Amino acid sequence: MSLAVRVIPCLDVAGGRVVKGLKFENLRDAGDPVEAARRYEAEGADELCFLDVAASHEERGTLVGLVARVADVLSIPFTVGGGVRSVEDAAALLSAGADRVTVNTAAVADPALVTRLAERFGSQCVVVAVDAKKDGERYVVSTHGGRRITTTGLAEWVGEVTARGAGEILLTSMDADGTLAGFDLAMLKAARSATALPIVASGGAGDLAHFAPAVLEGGADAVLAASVFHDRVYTVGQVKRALAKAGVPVRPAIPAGLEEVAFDERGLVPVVVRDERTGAVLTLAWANEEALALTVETRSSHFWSRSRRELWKKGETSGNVQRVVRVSLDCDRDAVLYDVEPAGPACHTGARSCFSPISAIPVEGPGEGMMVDAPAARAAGDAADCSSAVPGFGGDPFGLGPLFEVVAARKAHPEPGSYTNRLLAKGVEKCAQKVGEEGVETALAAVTRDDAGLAAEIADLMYHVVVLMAARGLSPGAVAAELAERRQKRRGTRPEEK
Amino acid sequence: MTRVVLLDYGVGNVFSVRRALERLGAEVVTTSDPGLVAAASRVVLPGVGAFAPARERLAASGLEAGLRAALDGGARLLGLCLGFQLLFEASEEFGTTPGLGLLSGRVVPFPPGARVPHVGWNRLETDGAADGPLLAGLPRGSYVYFVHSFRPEGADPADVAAFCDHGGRFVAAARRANVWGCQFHPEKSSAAGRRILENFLSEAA
Repeated sequence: MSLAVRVIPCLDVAGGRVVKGLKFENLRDAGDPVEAARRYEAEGADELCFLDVAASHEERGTLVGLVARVADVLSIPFTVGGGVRSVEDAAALLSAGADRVTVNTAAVADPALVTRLAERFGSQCVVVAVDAKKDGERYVVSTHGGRRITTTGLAEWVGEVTARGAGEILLTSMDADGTLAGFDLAMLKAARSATALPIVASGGAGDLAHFAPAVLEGGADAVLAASVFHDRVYTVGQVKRALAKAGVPVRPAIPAGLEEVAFDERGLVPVVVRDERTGAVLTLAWANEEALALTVETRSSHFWSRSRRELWKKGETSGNVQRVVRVSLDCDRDAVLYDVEPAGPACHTGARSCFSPISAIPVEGPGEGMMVDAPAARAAGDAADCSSAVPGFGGDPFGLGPLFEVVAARKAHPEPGSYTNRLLAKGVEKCAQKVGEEGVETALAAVTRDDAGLAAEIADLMYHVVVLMAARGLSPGAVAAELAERRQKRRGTRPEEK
Repeated sequence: MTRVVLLDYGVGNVFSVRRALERLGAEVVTTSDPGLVAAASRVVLPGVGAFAPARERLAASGLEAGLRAALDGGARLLGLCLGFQLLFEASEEFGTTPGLGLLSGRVVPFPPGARVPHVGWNRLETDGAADGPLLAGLPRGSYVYFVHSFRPEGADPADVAAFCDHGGRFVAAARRANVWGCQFHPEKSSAAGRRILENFLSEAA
């Protein structure tokens, strides 16, 4: 059997919204099931499961609408359940784009519902959700989200729905659910011995080490979890890599683009870390495939330590995490660039950058001293830039980098008496008004004042633009990307001007 | 923008196929009009369910004639799941039913012992298969999503684009000239499926 064991994030929804918030970085709307669905697919989820926990009849329409919106963006199968009481309920969900429906309480009350669903839609569309509890020495079926216990034995019920044409069993241990202490392996074995159908293990996952035993010992064909994924304790990719290491066949979760990276004979690739706001080079480090995958999945810098021979997350102990805005690949595919927003110093010595001058090399032109932070080479134009993603804040001919840093620092840690903080406190409108005023003053200076006067006004204007961006939360990278795109367009349409 | 005609002959839900193609920039026309099909340059034959009624509807609706006219005109056809099985010479699902005969081979049940239906993500095996545009650019050993209870056998080895192992090797994807087909669902196969649909839409052959 080479069918991959599936990893299935489960989302509880009510009224068309995700009930428990999702703690993804950068999620615009933590309650939007559509955005969550997209993110989980990108992370390598094999299937998604939506359970309507409100599941009142009045809300059926909302659930059907949600299914249609999810189907619109998703290219992996998804299962929908909660409150499916009839063939009509199931038909509405399937025709809205769900691949499968789950039935639970309604099937316990009316087992023939399973037969009717299988006859109408085919077994592969029918998942019977079984909630079970230990009762003395035996496992019994519970209903109504575990609030009611029946006298029906687990094995007996699993056997019956198998005979009635169910296509899959979604088994939740109500004893293990929410404990984060691991899947209920004994219960899984009890169900496994009662059916040849695929079993989805659910309830209790809290640690990476919990997943493989559900398959290898419990005999599950898929593992389902909710909070460990939503709370970003683990990514889907991490769970899959843990399963693969334990010898469980999984569909590999390699974030798009990373399959092209040319690792060296040690399985490593060098990573240049750059401050997205200033263009300063912070660190040169190494990553293996897992570190790169984790970086992309969690949007936080991860590396491979060659000395300690272990994976490490930047800031795990110091708190100086780096939020990764962009991961770029060198033209030879053998070097990687992380553009980051650092929360603190990059270097373990407490320095902002890991690089410090070893000898002063005189620089031609107006510059002086070292070129530690100023990426002057990139200012020469991005023809020299080998990285393949959108280039970062290139050049910095006006020396705006440090200004961005100061304004960002003031925003993060306000200082009494700071003009920047007073402006920020007054809001976007005030900042915008100041940009307008400084713009007019710059225009006036251009026709009435000397170079020094014009330079002063331009400096005022730029400072206020930087403050406005901080007030709006717009990163310099967004502007750089826009400029880069224009350059691209210009080249594409009027190459003779280049 | 590539224009794709998606055959609507009342067999299964075509919504996800349509959206998957649209997300790749195709203009998709879902139709049961044989004339529109005959004039198309890209045709998708979807399908979920039983072979015999699907085959019957295809013939009775005139869509089969439209499809053959399109192929004669050089159109590229992509059969998916049951739509793939319909391309073969015959099916032994509940008695023998002749297929479209565009690919050689027959559709048969899985051997005893194999879990049926074959539902889930399984690996494409390309060792011993013919290279071609169908799987171009797909990483070796990619996983794709299957849902089916019957499978083709006896295909011409020159037509086989990929095998899959479930109760022994079977043909998971095949191509003969402009006739393409997949037993799995590219529209449910995430990035791997997108790549296959892109290949289908592309001008290269």
